[in-house]
Amino acid sequence: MRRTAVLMSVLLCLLLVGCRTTRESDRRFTVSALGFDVSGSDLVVSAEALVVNSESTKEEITKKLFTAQGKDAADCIFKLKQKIPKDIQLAHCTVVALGDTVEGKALDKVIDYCAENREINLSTHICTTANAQQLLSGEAASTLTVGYELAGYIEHAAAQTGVTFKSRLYQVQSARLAPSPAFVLPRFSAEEDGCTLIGGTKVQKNRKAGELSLDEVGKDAK
Amino acid sequence: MSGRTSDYRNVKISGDINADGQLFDGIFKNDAILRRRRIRSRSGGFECLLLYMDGMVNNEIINDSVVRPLMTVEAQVPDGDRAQFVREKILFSNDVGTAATVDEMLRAILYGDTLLIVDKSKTALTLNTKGWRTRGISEPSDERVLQGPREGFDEAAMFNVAMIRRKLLTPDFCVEVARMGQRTETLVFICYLGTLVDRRALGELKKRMSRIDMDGVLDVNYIAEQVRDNRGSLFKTTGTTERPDTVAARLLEGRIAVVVDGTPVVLTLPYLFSENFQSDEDYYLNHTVSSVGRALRYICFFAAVSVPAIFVALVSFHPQLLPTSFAISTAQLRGGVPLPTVAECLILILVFEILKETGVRTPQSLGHALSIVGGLVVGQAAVEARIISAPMLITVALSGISGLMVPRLKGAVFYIRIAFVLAAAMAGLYGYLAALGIVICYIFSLRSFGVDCTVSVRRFTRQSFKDIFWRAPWNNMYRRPAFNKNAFRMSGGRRK
Repeated sequence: MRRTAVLMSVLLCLLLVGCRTTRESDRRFTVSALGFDVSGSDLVVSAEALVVNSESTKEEITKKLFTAQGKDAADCIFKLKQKIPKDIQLAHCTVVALGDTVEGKALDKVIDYCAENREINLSTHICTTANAQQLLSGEAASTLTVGYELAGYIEHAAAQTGVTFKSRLYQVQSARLAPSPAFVLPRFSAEEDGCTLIGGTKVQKNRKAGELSLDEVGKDAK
Repeated sequence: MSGRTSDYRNVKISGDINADGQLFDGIFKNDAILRRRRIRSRSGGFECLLLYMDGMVNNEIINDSVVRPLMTVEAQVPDGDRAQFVREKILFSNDVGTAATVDEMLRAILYGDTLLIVDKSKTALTLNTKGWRTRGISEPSDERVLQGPREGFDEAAMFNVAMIRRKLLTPDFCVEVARMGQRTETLVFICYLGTLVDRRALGELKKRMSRIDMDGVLDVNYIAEQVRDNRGSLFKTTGTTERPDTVAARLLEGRIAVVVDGTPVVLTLPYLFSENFQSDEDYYLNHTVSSVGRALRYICFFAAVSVPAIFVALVSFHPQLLPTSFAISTAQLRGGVPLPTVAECLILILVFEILKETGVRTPQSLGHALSIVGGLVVGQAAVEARIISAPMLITVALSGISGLMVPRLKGAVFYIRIAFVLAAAMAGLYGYLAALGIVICYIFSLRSFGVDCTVSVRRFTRQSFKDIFWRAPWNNMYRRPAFNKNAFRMSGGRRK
């Protein structure tokens, strides 16, 4: 009787853990980067995803860019999920790119959404660019996806040139909560043959306060 | 008559060898190998009847020690007990007993002794003329060592007991004998060291053995399964070995050995859970070397039961915990595989078990071909045909190979592995951790003859850990296992 009770309570605990939905790894889109732009009063999200053909017997993996438009970041992601045939997995998203149009309240809401979304890793980099959709739709030179290449640029810059951006989501969030919120995000330009780290964007009180070259970013960090 | 030896418990011989010969002829009427010979003494004073089983006796001993003296010695037979006279004055045999009832006589004949019925005597003589062939001493194939004694038991219990005794040259070595099996009347020897044995465990063993009621005992497992605690348990609560050195070492720790006639496997008890991870070689190699092996066995046990479950949980439920490149390559390699991860895992585990069992049962000459076909050809073809994914194959293979490191837990590993995979498939890492918790609690609840199987870990002292996760140097292991209250200190070594 006691054994049955223990087993039943263990089974009950298992049913209550909320870990009941499972998706096969090849039946998910792994998002490598998210991009946000403002279009009119709406927000546009671009998700660069790795796509595995679950029906193909070849080990092929391709990248695709999905976009969706919504009132805010949560609405965008919700609509994005509705549009695509498989689940999306944001856990391996390494970069959130913000277009120049994302400023003020929009910037505030996007970063808040990213920080509150349990799927998005707190070590995800935040960067800026003129147009996030354009940046993510380009080709990557060293990896399959632009997202992983952007992260590679940021980490390479820190290792080789000493230019360290405090651009991870938790660092940005902590800077935003400081009494005088100011932080520098890495800035990328989208070019024909790929993307390039061109410097940094200084953000003060949710407004872009200016662009810095890589040298200036290094000095600013010191 | 039920056909058992005990049917003749109250039957006695008449003293007339014609009638007694007919009695035995009647008992063995369908047994063609019973041999009988009637001998008249040289002086003609008396007649004897010799009964034995062909093939079970040593003919030279019978001829030299029994037949020759009976036919050559001239002696006047006194009026008293003739059998006693023959025993004391005529026979050359060193081991002569007397049997008063027919069941004793039958047991002697059936165990390879020779029965000598002397005319006009109400008791018969039993002569130790055992001479059946045995397999001989060879190294047990499942307990091979690189260094150390290479002798193993064979199927003759008496020789097995002698092999143990040869290692324990002490009068403290006690051997009790019992017969088990209503029809087989198998000899069972209970061996222990009188001053070291845990009397409570010994009493419990005898009590449980006395309750066994079955027709035949052909192997030690017939007894082990009926006397062990937690009968339905996947984990062993009685130990087995085919090595006399292992039995001797366990007796020195205050344990009990049960030797059963007809099998080279000896039962030892009480059995601690940590014994599953001990190897005989641990004690014959340097402690630094053997401690690595011991630690590896624990790691491999954990890997054997957990790796597939953790993989299933991570891939199906928690891909965010995987490194990005690993998550992507796993997804890529799974492309085109029709089965869900959990089904793929369970099927592969079953296939591995089939291959393992086939390998054990297949003749050695076919073993290599089987491993090539089974392991390489089928495995590679299945991955290329996208029936299974390569990461899953690697995971199950790693788990399977790790399981081979702990052969004493091979049955348990299979079931726990499956249970963990199912738990992980139900609730991810939470399910796996819950199942792991249940198994750990269960292991800590195991008992063997009144002893907690994890008693050494529970004690949580430096000394109690010295032969569990690693093998400490001999001079540091100065206490016997924690379960034995009678045997607190070992001889020698540093004492604190």
